[in-house]
Amino acid sequence: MNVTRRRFLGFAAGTVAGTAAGVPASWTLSDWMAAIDPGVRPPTGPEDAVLSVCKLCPGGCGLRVRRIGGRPVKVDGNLLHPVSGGRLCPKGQAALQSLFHPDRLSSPLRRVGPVGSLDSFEPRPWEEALAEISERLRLLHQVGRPESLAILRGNQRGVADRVARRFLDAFGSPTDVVVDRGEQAATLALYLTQGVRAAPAYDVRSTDYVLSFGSSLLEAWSSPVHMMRAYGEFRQGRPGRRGKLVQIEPRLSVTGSSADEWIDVRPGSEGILALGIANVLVSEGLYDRDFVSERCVGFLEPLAGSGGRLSLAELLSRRYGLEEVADRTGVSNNVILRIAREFATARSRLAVGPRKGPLLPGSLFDHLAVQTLNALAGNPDRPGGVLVPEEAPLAGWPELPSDESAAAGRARPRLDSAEGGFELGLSDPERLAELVLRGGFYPIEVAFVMGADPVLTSMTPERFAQAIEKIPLVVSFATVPTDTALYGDWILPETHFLERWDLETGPPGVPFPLVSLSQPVWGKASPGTRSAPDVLIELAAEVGGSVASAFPWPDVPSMIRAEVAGLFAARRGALMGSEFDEAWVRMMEGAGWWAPGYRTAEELWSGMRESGGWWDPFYDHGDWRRVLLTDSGRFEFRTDLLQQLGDDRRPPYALAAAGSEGEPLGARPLLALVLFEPLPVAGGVGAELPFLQELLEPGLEESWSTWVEIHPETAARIGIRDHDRVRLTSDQGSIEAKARVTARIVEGAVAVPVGLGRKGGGRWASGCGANPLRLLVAARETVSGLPAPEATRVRVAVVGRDGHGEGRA
Amino acid sequence: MAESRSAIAAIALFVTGLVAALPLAAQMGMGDPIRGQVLFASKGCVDCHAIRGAGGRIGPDLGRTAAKDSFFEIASGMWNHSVGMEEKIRELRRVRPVFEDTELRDLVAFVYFLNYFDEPGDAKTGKILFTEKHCVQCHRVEGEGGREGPSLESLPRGVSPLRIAQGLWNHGPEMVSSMRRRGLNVPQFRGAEIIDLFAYLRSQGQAREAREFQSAGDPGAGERLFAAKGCSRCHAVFGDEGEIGPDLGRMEFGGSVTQIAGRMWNHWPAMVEAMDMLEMRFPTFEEEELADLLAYVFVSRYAGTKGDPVRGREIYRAEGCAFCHGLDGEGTLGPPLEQVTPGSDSEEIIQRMWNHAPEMWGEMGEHQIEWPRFEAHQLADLLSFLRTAWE
Repeated sequence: MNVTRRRFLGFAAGTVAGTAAGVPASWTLSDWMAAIDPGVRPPTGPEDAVLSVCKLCPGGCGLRVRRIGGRPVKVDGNLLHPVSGGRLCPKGQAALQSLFHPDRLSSPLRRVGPVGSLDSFEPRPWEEALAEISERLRLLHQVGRPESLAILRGNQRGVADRVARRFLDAFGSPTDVVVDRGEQAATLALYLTQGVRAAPAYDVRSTDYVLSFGSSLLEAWSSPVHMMRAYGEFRQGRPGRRGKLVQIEPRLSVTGSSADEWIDVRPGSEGILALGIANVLVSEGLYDRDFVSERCVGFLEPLAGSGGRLSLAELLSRRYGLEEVADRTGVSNNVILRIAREFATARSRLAVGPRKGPLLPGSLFDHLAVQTLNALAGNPDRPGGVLVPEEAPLAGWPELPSDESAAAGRARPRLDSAEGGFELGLSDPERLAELVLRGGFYPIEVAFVMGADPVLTSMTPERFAQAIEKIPLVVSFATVPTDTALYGDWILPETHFLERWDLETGPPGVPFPLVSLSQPVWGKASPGTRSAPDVLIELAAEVGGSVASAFPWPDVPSMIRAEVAGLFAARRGALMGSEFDEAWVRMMEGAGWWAPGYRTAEELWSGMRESGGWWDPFYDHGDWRRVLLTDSGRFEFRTDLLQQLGDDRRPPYALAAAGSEGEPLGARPLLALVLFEPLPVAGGVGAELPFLQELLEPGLEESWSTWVEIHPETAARIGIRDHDRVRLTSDQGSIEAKARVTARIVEGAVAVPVGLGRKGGGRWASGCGANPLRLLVAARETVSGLPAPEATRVRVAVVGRDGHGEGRA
Repeated sequence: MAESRSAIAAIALFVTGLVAALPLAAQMGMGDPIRGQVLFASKGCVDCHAIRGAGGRIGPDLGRTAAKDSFFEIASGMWNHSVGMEEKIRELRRVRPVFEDTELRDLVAFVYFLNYFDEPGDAKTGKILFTEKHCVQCHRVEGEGGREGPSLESLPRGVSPLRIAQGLWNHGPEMVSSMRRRGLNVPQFRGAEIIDLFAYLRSQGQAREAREFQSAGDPGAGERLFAAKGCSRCHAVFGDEGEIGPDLGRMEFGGSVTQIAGRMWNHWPAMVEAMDMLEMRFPTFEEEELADLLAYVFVSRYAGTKGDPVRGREIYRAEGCAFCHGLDGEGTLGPPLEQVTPGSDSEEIIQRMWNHAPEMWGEMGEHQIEWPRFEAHQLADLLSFLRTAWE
């Protein structure tokens, strides 16, 4: 409906006038709406609600979709869902806007012109799309090159992810590329110190003092609403016990604004400060001696077999003394000492790693430093500490049918194997792009892209676009065309997440096993759309043979029912319920008892439909045989890695930005680039919705555009005024944006939000703002091989003033 | 958002590892504890009462303080607190819960079953007990201890307490003779000692098996075991047989099934003596047998001691019921009970009493009659009288 402001005011005025003129007082809003625009009929009929899960970020919040006459009219939080407890962030609130997006696709599109524009696509029937794609797949399978298929996907831990993995396994390809890097650095750090393959869960709710090293706790955290609820408990949920939050970061974020104290550090020096604080704990004897002596190795002697020459105590005293850390971080001695002592003497304290958003996972060095600090504080696996999530016990799928060709394909090296990913098999999408462009072990001939948009969100967007263009057949699933889809060959219109069945395991950062059930909010998906898992299963059937028989279920709901049987068989956990229920399950399982509200698998299923899912809130603290899986069976202080990674952080790497070393600040200085992800567009999702565009940056009142934050003194040196149009140029590329002069970014750096600057995304996202990821140089952290966006330096020049004309370049 | 997860009705949860318990429980006149738990939340009880720390703090914690050895204990507790509750409800501007159909029966069943499961014990206290009770002299935990008995580190972590109790019971003959040989006292468990001791053992388990939680046993199977294992030769449950040992229905337990297992262990010497006399074999348990047996004992105690209608008549008159309802139940100020209570069961009568309590307060206040309070046995007598008096 097109209701203009004038028309709305007319409607409002008419309401008053109409009442005075004798218009029936019984007129309802529906009557009025129909009177204004006869084409629009507000829904009527019985009211009910359907439970689902939000997928606009990885957070996994439970939704309760209110319907009138079968039509969704409002989204609220599911009160029983343990992740969100009835709350939603703005993204969740915008879920219906996403469902009813005017640019949603209703037919497959085939590219017939140059890449990069929706104008180059023509609608074609589903039959034609599936015929061409299945023909290519059959051919690959027949000639014995199944490894030439790749899937690039997000990671919502739902049916689509499991079907994608299964499809690749059955087909015979190892290249399952998870584009979302959100938890990679934290997962690596936990693996290297505790031997566990999981992202750590920080128990903020139960602690008293949080040192947050640049983490976006209250913004684009892995599960934002879950963390915000934990933060609420931490601050105000315990009578007489108010937690203290200290935020350490070069740019005052939303989290920092809510903190008790903001400690501004030089960009890239958060980990150095963590080790500086660790050194104070050791030198003043403030560390947890019992935990260190009983559960750690490498404290007084170098870790055997690691190649490290220094023990942790030696490394800290030699390399992270007070003076040196103060010099490298820009934080004064007194502040370091005070913070270290506060941290050490708090009843319960916790250091949180520098995860800034789904696209900005932080560096391994910073996460290792924070893990080290947590171990010295005795935090691993204790209440208020660093917990290790457990997998939900969904029933496994049947063994794959025997297929020699597929087995040989699976045994080939993954084309994207992260060089520094150790044996964790972490995805490295940028490496995939490079190998496609330069030629790898084997070519990629067919690629599916689902739930991901690497041309927008990878650290090398332009290279990715070229790589996508080079792959002979790229098929993207999308509700609204993504940037990546515009460079591919087929765009398949996907059902919206509110229109499909799904079974999603718990989001990262939530310590307990959890399974959420999503139910379609209406009986039939939007015309012309199909879900990605359904399409993959259909393609598997077309390929035939062992690929087809890898999917024995008639449809996705049947598959989900089979998986839920595992929850019943596990004889643990309960249906989602109230806080009382949660406490009750914890108590019961803590005492060794299990007493759920279901007697059969059927009752469990119907209970999940009514409550939103299943979970097990009991956490068994101190189960060392589960959470310390290193060879030593202890927490390992990895001085070898800290030393190697830390050496990379020495000047001028971290200090150039502040001008103390490297190029001096002058009229055209090199500035450190600090990226952040505002919650409304975090992960590259959200700019397509006007509601979220409006909320980009309430503090600076920025919306619908990209801005650059710059410190007043830095701005003065360069001659930049607030609201000037500026160009940021790096060795890689340049973007233009609006300058905002503000003291919330440290001197010698600029901060730019990520999430805008899209080609795709529909009418509201396309062409709006700029993508700062295009500035990033191809630097990688040693050891981990993770992209190092903090290595990029930029120059800033004014190109326009008051929004008009070109300025000086 | 104004609502919170704690403020809404729970959707069908818990207390029903009691699944197996339900058929026999129903025979005992017991309600459905699953529905009872839902009612505990939906009727607002949870806003004032906690269950072992979870829930409101205005009223007593029903998981820890309320006497709930039988239906009559719970019902008398509810009735006696209804005056104080009414005042609090008015003060807080809440709605007083009213019950329909089988709701009160279900709610009481839920509260009764709270005793079945124990709370997590205190592993630190358990560690001390492990030494004090001499377990450490034969068993190894945390790398220390004797080697004569099996290492208790081989237990799965978090193993259910009844599994440990069953193991303890089964290796009793060996253990007792070994302890006597060493001149040690056979351990006896008081209060929550057995729970704390087991909590320690559960926290030290090293076996990497999947965590195993235990549900309530099957009282039907337990009833059969009670006879098959020979328990009934010495013990009765509200009966006249088996008079060698105490009547398990009438003796006071006041604890969870794990604590009952502890008391079972405590009576070891007396039991061995009696079994020798009767030339019986020492009973051992496999799989879920101990859980089933204890579930039978637990469920059987729900009905409590039968009431005496003669004493009930005296209570009816002494406590002022007759003032409003008439000596012969014909009704004066209150409704004629002769038309209401005969043929009803105790739960139905209590539900009616509860629902009409607000009117009663009005009348009683006006006539300056003190609110009647009942001990459990008094309530059993009164209800026995009301059920049968005017038939």
